[in-house]
Amino acid sequence: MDRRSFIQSSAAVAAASVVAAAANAQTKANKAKALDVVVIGAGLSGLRAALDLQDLGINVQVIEGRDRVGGRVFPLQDMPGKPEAGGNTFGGGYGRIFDMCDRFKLPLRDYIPRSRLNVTGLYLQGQHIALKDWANSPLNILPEKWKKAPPFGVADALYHEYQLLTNPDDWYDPAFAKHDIAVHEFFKEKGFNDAQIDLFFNTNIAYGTSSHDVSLLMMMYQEIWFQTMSAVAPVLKAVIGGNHMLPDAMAGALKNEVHFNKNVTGIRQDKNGAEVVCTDGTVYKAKRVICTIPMPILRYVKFDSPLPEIQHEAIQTVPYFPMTQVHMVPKTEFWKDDGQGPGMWTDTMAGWVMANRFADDDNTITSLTAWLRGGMSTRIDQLSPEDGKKMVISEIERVRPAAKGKLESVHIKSWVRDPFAGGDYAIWGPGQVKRFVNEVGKPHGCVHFAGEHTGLSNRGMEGAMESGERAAQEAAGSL
Amino acid sequence: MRTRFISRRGLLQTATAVAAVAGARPLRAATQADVLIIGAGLSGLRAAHDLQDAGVNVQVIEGRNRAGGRVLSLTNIPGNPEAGGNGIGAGYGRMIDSAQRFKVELQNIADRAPMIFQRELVLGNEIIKEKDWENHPKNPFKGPMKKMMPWVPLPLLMTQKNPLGKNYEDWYDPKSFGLDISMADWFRAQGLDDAAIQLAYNTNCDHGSSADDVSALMVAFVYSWGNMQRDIEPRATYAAVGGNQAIPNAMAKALGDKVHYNKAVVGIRTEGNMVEAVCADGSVYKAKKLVCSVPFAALRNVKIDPIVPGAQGKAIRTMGVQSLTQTHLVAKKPFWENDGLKPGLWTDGVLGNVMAQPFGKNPTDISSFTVWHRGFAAQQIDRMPEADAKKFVIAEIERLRPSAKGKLEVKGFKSWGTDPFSCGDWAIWQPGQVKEFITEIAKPHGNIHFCGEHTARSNRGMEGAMESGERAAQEVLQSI
Repeated sequence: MDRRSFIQSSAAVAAASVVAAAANAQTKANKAKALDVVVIGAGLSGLRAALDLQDLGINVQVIEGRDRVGGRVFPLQDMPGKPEAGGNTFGGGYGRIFDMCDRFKLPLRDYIPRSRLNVTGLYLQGQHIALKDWANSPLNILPEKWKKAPPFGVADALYHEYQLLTNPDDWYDPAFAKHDIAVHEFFKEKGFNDAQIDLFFNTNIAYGTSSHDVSLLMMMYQEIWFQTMSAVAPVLKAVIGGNHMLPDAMAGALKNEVHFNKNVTGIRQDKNGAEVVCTDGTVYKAKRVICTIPMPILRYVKFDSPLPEIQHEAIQTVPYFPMTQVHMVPKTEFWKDDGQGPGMWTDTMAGWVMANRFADDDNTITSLTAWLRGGMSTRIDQLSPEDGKKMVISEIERVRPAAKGKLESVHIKSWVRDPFAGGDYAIWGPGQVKRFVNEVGKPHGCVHFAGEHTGLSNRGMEGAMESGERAAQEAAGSL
Repeated sequence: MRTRFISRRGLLQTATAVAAVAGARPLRAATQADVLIIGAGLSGLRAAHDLQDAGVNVQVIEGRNRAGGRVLSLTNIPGNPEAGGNGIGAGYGRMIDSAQRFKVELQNIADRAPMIFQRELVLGNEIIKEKDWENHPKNPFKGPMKKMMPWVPLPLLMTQKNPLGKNYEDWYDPKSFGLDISMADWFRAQGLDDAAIQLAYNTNCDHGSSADDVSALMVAFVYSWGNMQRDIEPRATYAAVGGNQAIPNAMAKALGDKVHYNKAVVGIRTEGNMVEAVCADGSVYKAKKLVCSVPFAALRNVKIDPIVPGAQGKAIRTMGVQSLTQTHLVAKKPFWENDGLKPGLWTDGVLGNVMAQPFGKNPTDISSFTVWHRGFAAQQIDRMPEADAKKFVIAEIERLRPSAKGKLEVKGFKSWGTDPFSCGDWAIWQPGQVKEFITEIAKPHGNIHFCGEHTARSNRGMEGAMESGERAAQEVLQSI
């Protein structure tokens, strides 16, 4: 059950599969170009799985719905500094990511000087409040002990103070299932009232759509995992030139080039293998399939042999985080005119405005990003992209007149509206951790599942890599 | 029910007394009323009329530039198809009364219903004829169900084995709460497996997006209540001549300048004895009482101060909502006469359910087609830019039946999910939500009263909206 023994056993599986693969490669030579494995999705998890399989001598083909690799790693090339619309930084414990960057000799940059807190002010209920004045603001309704904390730091501080897990892997251990409740209940138990919770959790929500929709177990895991990452090394890194260089390099190392614009509609299988059917009529035949499609999109893929009940239910019901970003270029440093700092944490439809520092030096502000999350994301997604951009800029201009005419919006990215993502990442609701987490990554016949939603010991980009590694081992071991 | 009627009579007497006092007051500023109603849909308009009839000074603010909310008739399309509220059942007493009072003519459209079932089954890319279905490899049903087209088992089971029987109001009785489980679990208890549930429920899903996210208690209520409508008067489904929107339009018109449009509410604040609604354009409306008909999915984006606490606050944040997007098409030529296929298509794809609309002179004349994308299909359609979605719909139909090539034109498109004033269509009670929210959902919050179809108990849809408006008006009258 513990992580070390898991890694050992999977190493054994990998070794065994090398032998199997070598044997396979010989019999294979006589056959037509049947594939050993088809990987659906050229995001980090799919590419990792494909590289691992290729390294074992297995004939693997990656197919991708989009016209690019990287999935939810997606830097905006048309913006100064190329800010990331998806996966941002690598924590100290992102071992698989660092290894892969080493393998492809990708230079990394220290991100910490660039990520220093650039929010010096809050904008709540029509009032500007400098962060230093927050503790004494009449709008600060938090209990005495928490008055000094910025509202966006309270939840994390609470998970830290009352951490229930002793290591990240505890979250999927049934012994901890009793904590699979809504974070709302936890906050209530700690003495917070609904209005306080609404202030520090639901305003610019970081997970889910409200404190009622997110499992405490998921948040405790998130916190302890984050601590573990920093304990390994207190660093945050990113690839110089943009994180997409990593999936680009991985895809470039594949002998079989990725096939793009392959939108999968169905997976048929029998005991000999599977067929993956795409909207354009293409059919890929392989002995094994690795499917990395995020759950909101996997709902549209038809399996001729029905998935087990719990896995099916997870795909139908696990919510994904609604997140939309509006990226803006400032024509002048207007924040120097009103003295409020470039970033702002607001309860308006400008959401959380962050300043990006992606120039060669660590100080120049290259762009601003308004993060709209939860209900704010849903709301902006109801507008056309052009109207969404206009709304955010007009909100910022309303809140701080110094910005008037100084912002140009270049890019809007909604992950919910993205037909290959359907949201940013999986949000496990109350009760869903114990019900689904150990089930979603299980193989179904000759189909293996990967993607960050199937990562058990890691989250985000490292979780994607972990899942790709695991799926490759499963597939290789069963060939 | 009986106690409610008795108390209502009492209320009306009180209301008359209140009215006498109200009449003696000086005129107020335009932005001030005794009661402010948010939303000029059926529930808000019903509340406004009930209150005005009782002599209360009301004002209605509406975010859209029209009345009717989720009643929306597309009058630019032949036959005036509905993008929202459709048929008016025989038991829709309040709807029928309102139509009569505001002189909107109703017609019985029941004889048009059979056309809806003039459709082909399409699974994957394959059109499966009714005669081939029973022994088709894609037929996941077992036993006698194998003979049924996929849309038959749900209504049949919910009629023959409905746990509420005819007592549809039992859905909010604690004795029924054992049924507040997922539809998937209920189906399994009836012997259906996942593949059968996928086809019988999740495909063109009427309530929720899948059988996993809707309460069987809600669905039992929907069917029991629906069957009651037919018991009252078989073969009677009414619609307003020219489109159902004529009813809210007439109700709004009768309120005259008391209805203010383009007032998108962003905040509701209680200040002392007064409550005020703040609109996106900066205008502020004050009143002693406020009736809020905003659907919960949209209310999530409205700041309410002080916050709605407890289970009611949770209901606002978490109740489900039906994903529904419609594409309306007009055929230049009757292509269905050329390919020997029935005019409609019931598909398991993003295309959804293509329904022929028989709103011509005769019940067999097809005036237009409405494509219903529901649940996940609606969500996927909403991910496409509108122009692409329209192209997709036509391309899909043309691919499935080449005789339609070049014959179809999109004349209307409506996504309720991307409509900021509804954020979806009807309310969905998820498993466990009936028992958790039913007694909480409509409770007044200080001077704020709630209405809207999501707060109805004894009725659904348009009649539920009317019921809720009536109830909210009674609460207000009782409290002033």
